Amino acid sequence: MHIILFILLFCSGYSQKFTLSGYIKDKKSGEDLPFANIYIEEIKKGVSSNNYGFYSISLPPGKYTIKVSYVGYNTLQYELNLQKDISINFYLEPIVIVTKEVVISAEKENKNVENVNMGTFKIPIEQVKELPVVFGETDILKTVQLLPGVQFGGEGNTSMYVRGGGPDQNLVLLDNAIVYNPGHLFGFFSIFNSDAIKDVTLIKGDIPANYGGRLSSVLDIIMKEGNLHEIKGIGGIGLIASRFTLEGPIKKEKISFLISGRRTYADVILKPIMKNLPTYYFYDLNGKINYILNHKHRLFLSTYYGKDIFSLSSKNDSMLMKFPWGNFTISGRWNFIINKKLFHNLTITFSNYKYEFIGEHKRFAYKMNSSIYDYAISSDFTYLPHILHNIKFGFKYIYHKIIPSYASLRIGETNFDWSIVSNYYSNDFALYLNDEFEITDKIKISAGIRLTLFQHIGPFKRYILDYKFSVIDSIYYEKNKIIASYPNFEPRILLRYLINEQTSIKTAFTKCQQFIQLGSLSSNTLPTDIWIPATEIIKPQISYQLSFGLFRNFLNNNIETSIELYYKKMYNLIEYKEGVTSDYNLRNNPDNNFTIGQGLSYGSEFFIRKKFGKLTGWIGYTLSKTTRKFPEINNGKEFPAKYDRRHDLSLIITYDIMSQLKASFVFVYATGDCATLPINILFLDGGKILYEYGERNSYRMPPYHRADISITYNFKQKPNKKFNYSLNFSIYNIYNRKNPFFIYIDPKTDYKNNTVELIAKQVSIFGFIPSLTFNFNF
Amino acid sequence: MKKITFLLTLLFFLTNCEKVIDLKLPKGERKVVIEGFIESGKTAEVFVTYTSPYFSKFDQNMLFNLIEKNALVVISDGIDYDTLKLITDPYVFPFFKYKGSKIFGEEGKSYHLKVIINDTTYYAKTYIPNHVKIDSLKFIPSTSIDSIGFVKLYMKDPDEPGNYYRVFTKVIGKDSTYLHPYPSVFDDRLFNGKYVEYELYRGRNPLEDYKYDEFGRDSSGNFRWYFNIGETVVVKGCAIDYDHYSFWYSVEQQEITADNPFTTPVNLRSNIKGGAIGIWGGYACYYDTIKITKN
Repeated sequence: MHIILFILLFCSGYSQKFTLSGYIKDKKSGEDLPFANIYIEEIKKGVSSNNYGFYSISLPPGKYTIKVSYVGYNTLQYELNLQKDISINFYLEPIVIVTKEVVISAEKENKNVENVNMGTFKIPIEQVKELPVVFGETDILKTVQLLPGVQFGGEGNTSMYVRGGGPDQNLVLLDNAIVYNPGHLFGFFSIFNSDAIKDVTLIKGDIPANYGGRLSSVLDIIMKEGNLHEIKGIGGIGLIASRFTLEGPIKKEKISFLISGRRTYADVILKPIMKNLPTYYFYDLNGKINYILNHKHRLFLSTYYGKDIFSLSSKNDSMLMKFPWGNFTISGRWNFIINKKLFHNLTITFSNYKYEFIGEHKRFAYKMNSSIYDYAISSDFTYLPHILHNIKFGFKYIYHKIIPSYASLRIGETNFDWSIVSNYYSNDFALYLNDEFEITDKIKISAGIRLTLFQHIGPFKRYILDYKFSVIDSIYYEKNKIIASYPNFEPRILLRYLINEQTSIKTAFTKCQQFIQLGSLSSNTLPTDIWIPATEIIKPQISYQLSFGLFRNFLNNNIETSIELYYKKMYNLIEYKEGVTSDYNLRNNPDNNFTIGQGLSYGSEFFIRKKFGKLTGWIGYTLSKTTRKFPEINNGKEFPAKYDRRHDLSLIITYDIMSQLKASFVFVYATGDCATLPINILFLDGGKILYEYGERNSYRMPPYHRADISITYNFKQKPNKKFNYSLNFSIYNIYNRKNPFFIYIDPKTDYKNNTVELIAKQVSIFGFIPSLTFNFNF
Repeated sequence: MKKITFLLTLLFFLTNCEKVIDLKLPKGERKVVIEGFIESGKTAEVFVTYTSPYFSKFDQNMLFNLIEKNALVVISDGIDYDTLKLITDPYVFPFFKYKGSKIFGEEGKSYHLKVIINDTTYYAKTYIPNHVKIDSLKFIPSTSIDSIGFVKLYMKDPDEPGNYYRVFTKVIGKDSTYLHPYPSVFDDRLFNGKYVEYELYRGRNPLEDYKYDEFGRDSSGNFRWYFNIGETVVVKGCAIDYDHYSFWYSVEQQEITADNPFTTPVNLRSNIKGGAIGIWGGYACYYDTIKITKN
């Protein structure tokens, strides 16, 4: 019966309807609130605003009570008598932190139950800022790594492994521009300055059709537009790093700007103390301009530029090593409300990730750089014909240019120029359609399809090698000639069955592709890993994932719980052929060095979260397994993937001690990383000690665990004064756990007694680290 | 890249904590290790030893127990056979080797090796290519002290691609055996058909390690890696086949990456069939001598 009604309602204009549409914004700053909720009491249905804060609902004429809500804001109630198409912008008031009472009585969301997406987490920026920090910086990626199903890459790493996928399988977007390396060295900081960020959404696994190009997750980060009413600033001064963000109107209500900067200065402080320490610093710059032309058109222009610089020189300056790398993105967007039901966004972006390595030692100098350039244009439509449907469709085109490794070497006076390596150029097209609709009161489906075409195009010189890695032939393809073409389609189907307001079951089946992947030599993700696109030798990666989840809320949605199960198969994964080191990229195409295999990943994720009250927080626990099988590696036997972690636990507690004093505590536990270690020693070449290694990744390092705490004190804001201050004191790794970073073998020779002993040593990098930060805003 | 990984490892030693741990590794099965070679104009030499479990403590006794003295080692050039006899060699570890007497290596020929221990047979094949002449040798004094320095080798690589080399040096009166620098093997990918210069330093003899400190200096302050004025150095440049090159290349990759967390460990690329680890390689040698004088 419901189905028939649904079809009739959808297909006809059987009853007259009017459309209520507009933007949902922050009352104080004028910022749009993406994915805010608009709930209609009378029909017990709601919709959410899109990622630009635009909403649209079509209803029969009548009187309606509308409740508009968003996390961190007071719910707005509005009485409407709908008799014609009308455009209303809703302005929500942010909740003032001091008065906790308001929080308790605000709209309790059962979004986690009601949503058709299982693995979607909206990360409130305010929550990110309350977590313990290191070196004075709260961090988005560090917070995301605390969610179940997301495993952090290890000490000194901002990588995320989601459901057994590598760090390259996460689509990280900053204002729609792809970010290839979102981490700074040593993994304490991502490149995202939380003060400049408005919204962060993580989608694990069941990715809707409007996103594509990665197998495991999407991290969609939207920058603030800039306060449209008044000039505001936020900043912090810490022991090792400082940051400052300034935003405000260029023309009130019309044009706003935001600029943000951050830099570390650990090198400046520590260098005089520790002579042989490497120089390390990074900086991040963000900028944005937001221009509201009129109620139909808006323009945004945003940019990010950041760099990490690492340099090490030896005592007598005979050795110098420099390691600069960074990202640069520009994103230009145009929002256009075509009509009350149809919203369009056109985006043009440019992304660049580049790293260089320069090493000099006496008469030997080695320089290498590698970069990836993306030029993209996309057109995305949101069509809301009916309250039961949320339709998205659009298209995206990216032109990729990858310079996998360009190097030059100088020995004495002789120069070897290795720029003979051929760049990779590709066309990446996608067309998608997704509809999220309610079949019945209980069943909601998101069904979508993504049609893709990836082409490897010229100019390109293909080196054909024999088994000795000697070049026996080469083929040259001219500009724009199609060398390989991969058309395909990706269905994405998600279903939610609502048992009651507090409980739901969800299931999803998704097929995803990835056209550019990371070729990693190391067991650690280093910025020297290279991005490899699909070519005539390497096919696009494909994954099929089936997931199932049970969601249950308690105590009026104050406690959220969920259990999710997933099973994922991946094809066309790459690994370096055994024995290859990075100098194999000379006079060769890097993709000749890879071998192809498959992966399997399955697991269960448990989550309990308390959202309101003096004590809030969550526990996430994941039990999972991920393996790889490559015919040419490990003799074709299945082996644990680098990212295999049987157990992963995160506990976060935030407690309001008093109105001005807040504390938070984080505890993480993870099964140790795997490693390939020797099983035998042998002697060759006149008595040198060499090793025979065991099966790939067969050794498990000791588990990783650590606890951090943080205390923030907010100084009382003086009346009539604009400035607010707070002081934060944090400790990273409070019990100084020596987590293994890597293990190595140290041969200890005793010449007197003529003995050699092999001692296994474990190296840890970060122990107990306290930090103090002074934060301000005006 | 080898230098880079070494330097990165160095970095981590500077800035962190280290502790000794107790690793419980699975024991690998004991394997036979065969290291054999045949040079142009000389008879074959083969060392046969065993692997040892990973965390053994090594002393003299233990090391001697790793030597196999009862293997049957036979080589053939397709026509004749030569059964190698066990002799001692006080200059090279493991001090016992099997040496041939009938077959002398010739360029352009292939040689087969068979090693039989108890009931197991190990087999390998190698080829001695044509030698490549060393054009000249030159002494390059060190920038800080001009009485010590390196030797530079000049040669012209033949035009066809696929030439592989290994180089050795021997200081007359000082070295009892040929030593090689690191890296000692290279191919002609970068300079096929062109003139090559390769810088040589005095290589490492593991039996001498005890004499030198961590900077390579002995008690008199002499550096182990440099050549000195007054010395006569014999340079042996050898042409080798691909499998021979691939093996020593993997040895050298392993040497530099063994403790490095940034690379996947390298297993040695043996050319021995039957389950043994090691190499049976041919060398086409060309010798040249330089007397280092002040000028």
